[in-house]
Amino acid sequence: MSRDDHKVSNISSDAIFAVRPIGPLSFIAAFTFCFILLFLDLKNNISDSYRGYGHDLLNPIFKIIDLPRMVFEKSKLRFKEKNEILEELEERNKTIKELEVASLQLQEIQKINEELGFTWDSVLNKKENYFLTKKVQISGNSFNPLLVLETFKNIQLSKGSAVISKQGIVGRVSSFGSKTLEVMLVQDSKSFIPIKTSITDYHAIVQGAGIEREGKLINVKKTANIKIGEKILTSGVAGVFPYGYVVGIISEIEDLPDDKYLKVKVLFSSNPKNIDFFLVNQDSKKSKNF
Amino acid sequence: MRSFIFIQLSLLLAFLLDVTLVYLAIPEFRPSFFLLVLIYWNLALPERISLAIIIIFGLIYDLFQGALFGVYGIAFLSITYIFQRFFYQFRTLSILQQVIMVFLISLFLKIYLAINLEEDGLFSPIIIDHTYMVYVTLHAFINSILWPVIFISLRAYRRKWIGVRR
Repeated sequence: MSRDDHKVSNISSDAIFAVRPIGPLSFIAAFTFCFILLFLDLKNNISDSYRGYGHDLLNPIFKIIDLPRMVFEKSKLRFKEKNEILEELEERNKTIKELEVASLQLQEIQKINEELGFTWDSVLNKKENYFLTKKVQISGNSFNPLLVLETFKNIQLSKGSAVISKQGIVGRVSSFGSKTLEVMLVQDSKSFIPIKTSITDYHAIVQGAGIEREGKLINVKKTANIKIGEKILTSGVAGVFPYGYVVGIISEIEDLPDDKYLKVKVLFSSNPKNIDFFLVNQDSKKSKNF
Repeated sequence: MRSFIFIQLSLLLAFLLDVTLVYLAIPEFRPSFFLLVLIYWNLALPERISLAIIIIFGLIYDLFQGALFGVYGIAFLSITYIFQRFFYQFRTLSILQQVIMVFLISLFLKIYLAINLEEDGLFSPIIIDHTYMVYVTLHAFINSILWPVIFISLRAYRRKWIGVRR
């Protein structure tokens, strides 16, 4: 019986059959390590440099997770095709069936092309500065949602590059690896975007409050002549987001007597859960704090 | 060594289950299998738990969930410490009392994770709202419902593959 397995009596050297849990010193060391990491990250944002590569490593896991669904979908499709051919043998020949399948595929392609077309059409200027990319997944918590997109080796990216979709501004690149890039969404509670209202031309900053939550306009003076339902667009101030993209609409304005500013809520126009294709601006100025 | 591998394997599987739930876009109230498995091993074989592995899993969660480095590590270490310290007391509790404990721990963990350290002021009002509290309570409730299932499954797993009975 070794001392590591059980407590051993110092008097009789007999084993005391009690479990020896992890010692407090190990815990202190582990906690210290974690706190040091936390403070380093808070001060220097070290996680931003590595998170993109972390997603690269996690990417195969998502492919493995998706495998059963793909196999199920394919087997379902095969089973369906077989049944259909048997049922329609008398009416249609094999060529027509193949043409139907081809037609279905074409429709699918057409649908994707339409989405791609809408996405490209949403670019207001300098289309050559954008590259098209596909969604990998959405993770993170509800306050700090993260969108992970595919990227390619020859793409020159910088932190802060704007990401848009057919619905408007989606967010900005917060970290990137060799195969994936991470996007801080406009809905993120850490996201601040300079905007202007479409009709009254009032300049302000919109802050996110989490996915599927309404954002808010910061420091809007009581004299501001903004209206519910008014569109808000990127103002292009600070150069992070290009000018004129839709961010959302004003959904609620509250004038509280004890508050110096108006309480303005914003309904974001983009919902990355429903979109598969995105455009990333390579021309954006490097910005860390906005 | 055998027990070490099987414990880490179960933690890895729990992590993959958590990732799957995120991938399937299940909202914030989804259960946390990793937390439940971690609690179980701290109760069943506290001396076989590796703090280094917990920190590594914490970092993976930080990367995956977009949290600051160390946030999940501190959470997992705190849970480990509590259960290492009180595992004798916890083992003697009835299953209903254990369920209540798991509920409370899940609830506090989610509230801790909602603290926005990057903002001025520790409890930023935008972080914890009504919807989040509903989700968090649901999450804790689902976790506590799952606890007996996890407990029985992992006990069978431990007896079959690790063979340590205590």
